[in-house]
Amino acid sequence: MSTPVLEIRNLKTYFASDRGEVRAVDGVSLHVDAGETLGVVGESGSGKSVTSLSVMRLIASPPGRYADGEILFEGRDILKLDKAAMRDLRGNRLSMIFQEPMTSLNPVFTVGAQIAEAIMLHQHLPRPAAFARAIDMLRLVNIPAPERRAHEFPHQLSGGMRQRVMIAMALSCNPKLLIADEPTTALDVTIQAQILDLMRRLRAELGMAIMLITHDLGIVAEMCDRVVVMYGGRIVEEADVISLFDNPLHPYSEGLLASIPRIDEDVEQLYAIEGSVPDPADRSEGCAFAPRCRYAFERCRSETPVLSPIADGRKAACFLAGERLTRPAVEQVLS
Amino acid sequence: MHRSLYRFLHRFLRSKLAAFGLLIVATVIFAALIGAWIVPFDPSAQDIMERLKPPLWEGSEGIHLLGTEALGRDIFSRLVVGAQVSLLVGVASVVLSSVVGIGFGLIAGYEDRYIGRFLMALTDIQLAVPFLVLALAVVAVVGASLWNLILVLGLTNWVQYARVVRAECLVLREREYVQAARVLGASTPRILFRHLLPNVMSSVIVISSLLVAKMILFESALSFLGLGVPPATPTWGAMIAEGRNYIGNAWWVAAMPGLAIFITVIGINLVGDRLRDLLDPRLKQVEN
Amino acid sequence: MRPPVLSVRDLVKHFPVRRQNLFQRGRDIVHAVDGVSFDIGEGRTLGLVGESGCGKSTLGRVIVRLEDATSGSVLFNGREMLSAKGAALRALRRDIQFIFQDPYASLDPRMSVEQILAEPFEIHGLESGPARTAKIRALLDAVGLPAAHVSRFPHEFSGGQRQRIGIARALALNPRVIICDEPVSALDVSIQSQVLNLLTRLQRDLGLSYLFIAHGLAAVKHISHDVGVMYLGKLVEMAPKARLFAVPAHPYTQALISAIPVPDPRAVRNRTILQGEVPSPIDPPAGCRFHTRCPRAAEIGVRCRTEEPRPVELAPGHQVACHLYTQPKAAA
Repeated sequence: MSTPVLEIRNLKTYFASDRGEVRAVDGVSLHVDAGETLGVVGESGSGKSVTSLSVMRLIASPPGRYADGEILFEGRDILKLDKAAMRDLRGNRLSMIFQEPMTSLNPVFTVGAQIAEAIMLHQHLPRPAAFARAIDMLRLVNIPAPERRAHEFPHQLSGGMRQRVMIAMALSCNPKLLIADEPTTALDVTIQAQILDLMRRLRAELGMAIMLITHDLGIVAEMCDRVVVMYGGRIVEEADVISLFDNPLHPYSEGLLASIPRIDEDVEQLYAIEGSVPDPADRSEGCAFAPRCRYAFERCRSETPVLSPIADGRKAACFLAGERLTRPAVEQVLS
Repeated sequence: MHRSLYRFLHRFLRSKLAAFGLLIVATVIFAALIGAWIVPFDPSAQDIMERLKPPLWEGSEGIHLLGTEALGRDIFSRLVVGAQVSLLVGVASVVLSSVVGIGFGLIAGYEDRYIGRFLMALTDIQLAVPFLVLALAVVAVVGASLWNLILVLGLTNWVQYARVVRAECLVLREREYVQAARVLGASTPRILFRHLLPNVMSSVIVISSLLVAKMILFESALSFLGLGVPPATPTWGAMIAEGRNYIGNAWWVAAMPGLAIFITVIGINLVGDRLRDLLDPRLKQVEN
Repeated sequence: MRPPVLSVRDLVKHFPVRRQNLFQRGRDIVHAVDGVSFDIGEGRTLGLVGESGCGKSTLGRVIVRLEDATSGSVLFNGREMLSAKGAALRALRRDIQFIFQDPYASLDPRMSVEQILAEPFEIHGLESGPARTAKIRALLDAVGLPAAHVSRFPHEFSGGQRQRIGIARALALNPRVIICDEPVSALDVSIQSQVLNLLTRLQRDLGLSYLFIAHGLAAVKHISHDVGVMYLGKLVEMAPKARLFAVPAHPYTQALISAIPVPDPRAVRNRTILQGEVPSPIDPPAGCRFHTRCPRAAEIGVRCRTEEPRPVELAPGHQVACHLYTQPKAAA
């Protein structure tokens, strides 16, 4: 096994609020190996975005704080780096793209200048060389007429183009790890298909690892090697993508998979997980999913299950995970 | 409702400065409401023997806390009674200007074609008229009185309301809940008063609290210039005006009412700033 | 066959927009909806899909008169919706209701659930006192919210619960048709299916007709009987659901379906990735509006660029507007 590019150990990111401390991320451990794509799946309030922002050290403090844990990037604990060292890392060997490409670009600079800026900062190239490299990057992400586009401002580009620019900027310094936080959620399906295709191609060409945060299991199935499923600030399941889709061990993963309307299947009634996504400010005892879980029993409400290895490369935080691993395949088919 | 008010107060008082401001404002309101009955001296009782005495002067009838003025009247008592006028002018003129401004803003914000454009042109004209010149002209025509002063202040300071309310309505009317009301068949007045007005109230409260302070300053300025309340009623502005002749040998006569204005305005502004922090939805995001 | 409940004919909506330029003044016309026709039968759902800027949301808003149509007609049970005024319009409003996309913006934050649900009755002077209270409880029950929640305010609810309140409000006046504008796309995945199931059940119980507007094909496929595909203000294809997904005829529909990520890591993907982006609706391409991105345009030739394809009926209820299925005009 290769050494992981990123390893998060027991990360806890808390936020101060009117109603007391919100445990947005409450003990998350995961790793991303070199060249691998890890999917982080979860709904609103699951802590998936806070986890990714924590890795970038983009959590505003106050109100946020890193209560506990380590984030090891290439073996170094990011949480212990000073500001200068962090700036040096960010946008260089560690990059991020966001959901909303409009607000991530500065409206008063041309896109070429913004990409060149990042290159000058990290690779200490003179401006003309940096600008030339920016144009190369725009070409790499399939932007037509990159020489002309480099001189345009963000508002002159469409949403899909802006996301390409963001990707170009994120990749301009050959990052080891790219964190993509819902990179296609704001885009139309045909544009999403283009961007995902682009990301696949660049991953193959540049060999970086990707941590892909998404709520769309379709994207996970297409893009990821491994998946962690988050719920209520914790990881509830970790598995390779084939195993997860074949036999989800955690009831939440199972419900999530069952509740997507499938384009290739027809059902009368959709499977629905009853209840609501838990409020991150309210973390009571027991498994966070227990109130919505069809299998929950007494122990689930009093004791919080920890994420533990169930089988080869598979982990789950559920008391029933062991039994569920060996259950006959027929039982998995839900009404 | 009671509980939410209590919770709001609790959050409000979390800021020490705001709590201090609220204390000042409460004191001034207290003085204005019942001060006239508890002051140590009759505020209009003259005593030529005790004129221009410094603060803490022990007179024949008791201690003059803040000294006396040119006619020997007790400055502290006059200040307490003057609070009534200052506060009345501040609050009444703010109410007047808010009614005018909110009305204009609501209409202009919901229907920004003909009437709305016309109303906004009016606000631009209003902005271009120098306030003091207008006040001078009005007082010259109708004479100086408390209510004329309120009228002048009220009718010259509604522009801020109109602009803010209009800007918010332009956003709010595109909100889905306003559109939902339209789909249900709601009439325009219903939308204005049931959906738009309650949702602009937090901004209105913030503007009002800061405007009260501004109005008190305006009142003082106009009274100082002799355009305010007639001299019989003690007002803080008029007291400064009277005191300026003695600034060389009795500084406290002008300084004490000045200090009263200063402290009151700071108190109101502290409260207003805190209200803005708590009520402004744009800032709310940050706090959560 | 029974007459349709809602019948839309040649609906056009053009917006004038001010040109975004410091030195030039002038007005451009956005062709948001450009001649759309369809029928919805009683108890049926027409799903409408398309990418942003295709005019699907504008279409829904024009039908309920949130926007004024440029031309065309919308008939509800034979009564014209677009020219109705005053009392006639108010009466029609009771029959056609709307569910909004954003459950956070669609409820007035300063009104309690009771006030929100009482509003339709107040506006139309229906029910009062205990009868109204009973109605409000019945509405909450119908959308699966506890009646005890009537005095709560919107911020005390989750997104899914808010959307249920929005649905209850739309149901209050006993409408026959509900326009659903992306009703689940702002919700979490696990909540979406709850709301879709609720909409299906309400349709079955109350005989409602839906126009279900969405960009997510999966949700549309689940809930619709018929599906229409829009591109740049035009309906390019419409067919019964099963047929549309089994044998999509228009190259755009084919690309749209193949673009959806399939939640199956073993699935073999044979994807048509469309190049380029949706052109601006201010100056839509001549001829077929899709020809700038169409993978098949080259084989058909010049007609795609010059001649607008007329809708052709391929099978009962399956219409497509594409030159693959039209014959060239006989040379004159």
